[in-house]
Amino acid sequence: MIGQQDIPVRFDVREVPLAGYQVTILELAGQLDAHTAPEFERFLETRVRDERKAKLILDFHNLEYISSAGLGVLMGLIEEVRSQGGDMKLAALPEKIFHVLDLLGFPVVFQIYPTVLEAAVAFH
Amino acid sequence: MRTRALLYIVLGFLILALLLAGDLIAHSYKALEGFSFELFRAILQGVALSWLARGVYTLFFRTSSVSRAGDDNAAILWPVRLVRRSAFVLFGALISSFLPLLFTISFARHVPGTFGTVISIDIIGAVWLLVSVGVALSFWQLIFIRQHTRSARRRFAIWGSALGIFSLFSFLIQTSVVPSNTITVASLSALGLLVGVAALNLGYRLPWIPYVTKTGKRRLLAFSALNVGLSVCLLVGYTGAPIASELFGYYAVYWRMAAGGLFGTIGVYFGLVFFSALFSLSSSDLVERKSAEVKSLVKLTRFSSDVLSSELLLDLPKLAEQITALACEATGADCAWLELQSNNFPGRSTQVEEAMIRSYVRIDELSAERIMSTAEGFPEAGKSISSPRAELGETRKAFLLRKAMPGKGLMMPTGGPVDIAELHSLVAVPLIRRDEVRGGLYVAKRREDGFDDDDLTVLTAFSDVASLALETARLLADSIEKQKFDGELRAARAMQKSLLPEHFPEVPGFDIDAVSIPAYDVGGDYYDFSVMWDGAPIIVIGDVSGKGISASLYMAETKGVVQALAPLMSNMPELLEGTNSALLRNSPSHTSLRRSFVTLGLIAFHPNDGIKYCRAGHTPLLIVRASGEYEFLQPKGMAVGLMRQTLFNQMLDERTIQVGEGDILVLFSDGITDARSSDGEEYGYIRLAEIVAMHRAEANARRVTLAVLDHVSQFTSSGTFGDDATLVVMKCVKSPEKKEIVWGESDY
Repeated sequence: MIGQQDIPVRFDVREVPLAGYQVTILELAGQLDAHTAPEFERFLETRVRDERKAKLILDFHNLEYISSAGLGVLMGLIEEVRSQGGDMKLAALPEKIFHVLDLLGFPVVFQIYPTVLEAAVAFH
Repeated sequence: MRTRALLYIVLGFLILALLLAGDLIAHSYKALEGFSFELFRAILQGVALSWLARGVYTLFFRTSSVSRAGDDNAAILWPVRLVRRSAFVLFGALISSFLPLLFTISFARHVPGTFGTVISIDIIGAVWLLVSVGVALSFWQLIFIRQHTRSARRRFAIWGSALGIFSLFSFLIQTSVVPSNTITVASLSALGLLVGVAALNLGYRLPWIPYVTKTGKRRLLAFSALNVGLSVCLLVGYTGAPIASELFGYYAVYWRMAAGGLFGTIGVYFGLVFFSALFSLSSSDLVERKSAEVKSLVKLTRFSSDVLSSELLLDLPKLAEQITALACEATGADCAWLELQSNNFPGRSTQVEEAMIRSYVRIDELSAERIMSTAEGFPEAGKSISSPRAELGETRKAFLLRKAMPGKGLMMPTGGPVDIAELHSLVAVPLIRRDEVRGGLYVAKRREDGFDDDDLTVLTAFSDVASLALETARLLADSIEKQKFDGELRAARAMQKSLLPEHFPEVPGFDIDAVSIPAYDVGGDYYDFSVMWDGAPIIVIGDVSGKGISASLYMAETKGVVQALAPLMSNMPELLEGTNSALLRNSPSHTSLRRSFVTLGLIAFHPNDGIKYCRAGHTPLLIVRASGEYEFLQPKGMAVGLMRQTLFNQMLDERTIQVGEGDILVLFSDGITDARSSDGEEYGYIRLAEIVAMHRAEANARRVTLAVLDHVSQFTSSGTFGDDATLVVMKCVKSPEKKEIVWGESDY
């Protein structure tokens, strides 16, 4: 994978709407590493706390890199989300990232979909 | 100095004794022996008295005009003491005026020229003269308090001259040099009046009275009234009583009127002192307060210069305490408190909440908090002010609450040390550092209108210094803390290094080498060696999620668990299941901390079953054949510490590897393959496999390890890894033959 040059290491997460589905889609972009993970965790935590039965879809297609710290955030929150009756699904994973998740055995824990739409459909 | 004073006194007494002797020899006492004789006596007595006065003054009345810093209280009360001493002197004089009563009998008989009469008259007369001089001396000192010496001397000289002329004139009349008629008596009265005016002039300015404290003034009132009374008694006793006229008539004719003038003047003077003290009594509160303010300012100034070099800076809580206590004392408040936000250095952010420095003087935390966070007692509550704390934060200016809501106080009582419902006035001052309100200093009083604008000014000035001192102390504490932290980090690093095995044991047929490079001081990667139940050596590689200290602690825990379980297990899936179960059990219940997990890769060299690889979420095993072909072996398996037992066990897989001579097995952590070049490219699996393949013919594992590290370093160009990087290279130097394998001695 060839990264773009001169792009500062940063991470961004934003909510994107999807008409017709009552799901929360969070689009992750950039690099989710030890530096950006705490920020992401706070963001995700407030989403989970604010919204009971959160139906979260994490859109990975713009994510360049995810470190173990970033994965830890997902692992740390999945149980809480599920215990509240919600779920967190992962979608549109770049090959490299899927590889990492696959190594760690994430596919057993998370439902992973090729596209956001498929994930949204799976919620209904 | 003292010997000379004593000499003067001795000489003075000698002259008086000579006079006595002369009187005894002359053996005759008649009223008024004649002008020249009286003049001669007067000159002799004058010389004697001036010497005595000088000696006595030096010995008893001279006080230092140097007042030392710190005893200003003494300086203020000094005049009061002088007045009190005058009272004692006057009282003594009054007693001496009764001396003649002892000799009433001899006087009643009054036999001129007898031995007894001469003795009694001379002794009593001498005592009276001495007493008068003492009175004059004690008076002399009072005149010079806080006065310009020259002008005080001038006024004293005018008074002295008036008194001198007055007594000289009366002396002339008494010795019949000047006939006693209406005109001369009238002139004498005029001269007496002049003495009175001069006396008024002496006591006209009393600049020291306002500085006397309130209690001092009360004492002043009592003593000056007493002194006036005593002066009147003395005036009557020394001049009016028949005995006095006889005594002075015989012993010192000129003295009678002089004594009258002296006591009269003293009476007038103390009368003036009395009224002056009486009228300044009402303003003494103000004066005292101003003087207290000056003192507190001095104290605060001293604090600012002292504290910046003192050990207080090393003790932040104590410094805060001192500042609070000082503010309380300086404003005369009933209670005071301080709160200061004090962030520690980054990396200790979990302690932010505890990083408030608070200090209380005569108030409890709860009450102070209620006053700061509510505006219960503020008449403007809800309208212009939400709470004192918020007010400080918004306006960044000190403010003063003169009167809390009548009958309510600053808040409802809670039963703290000061009954704060009783608190009715408050000053709040922000503690500002780097343009940021970091806390506040509060002082409160029970009284309404307890503070004025000056308190506000003084406290504001003080708070600047206090903020600076607190900030300096905080920075010092932080840097000390950081040093300590750095030291601990070094220790952790050394400790972690010691967790990695120094040597790999002999695994027959294999040459093994390993290296682990933490990205920071301490890392989450590790490799290890152990032996299982059946004697099979296993090589472990682990990668804990996250970096730094928390990762290194988790790593240590993982290592411990694996080390403990390995000898009890006969296969790797069992070992990994046990490890997962142990780590899950030990993991903290708090969600945000639970996200730690560890990936493990294990290779076991079973004596009978061959070489096996098992993987718990770790990167695949790289196998480079002697031929140069390579493959990545990735059996199924989840990271340890992520999921509950059943899922984990279900996933776990174990693969047997066929190895021949010249083959190389490589365990690595993603720190190697994730290393990036300057243009963001990842090192990746392929490069790793190829560099190992290139060096597959190297004689030992160490060379392969170094070749890989070199290659990755060159690739990253910066020579550093973004993540912990670990590499274990196992080169098969001799094809294992099942029967021949004898597992060497190990540590177990």
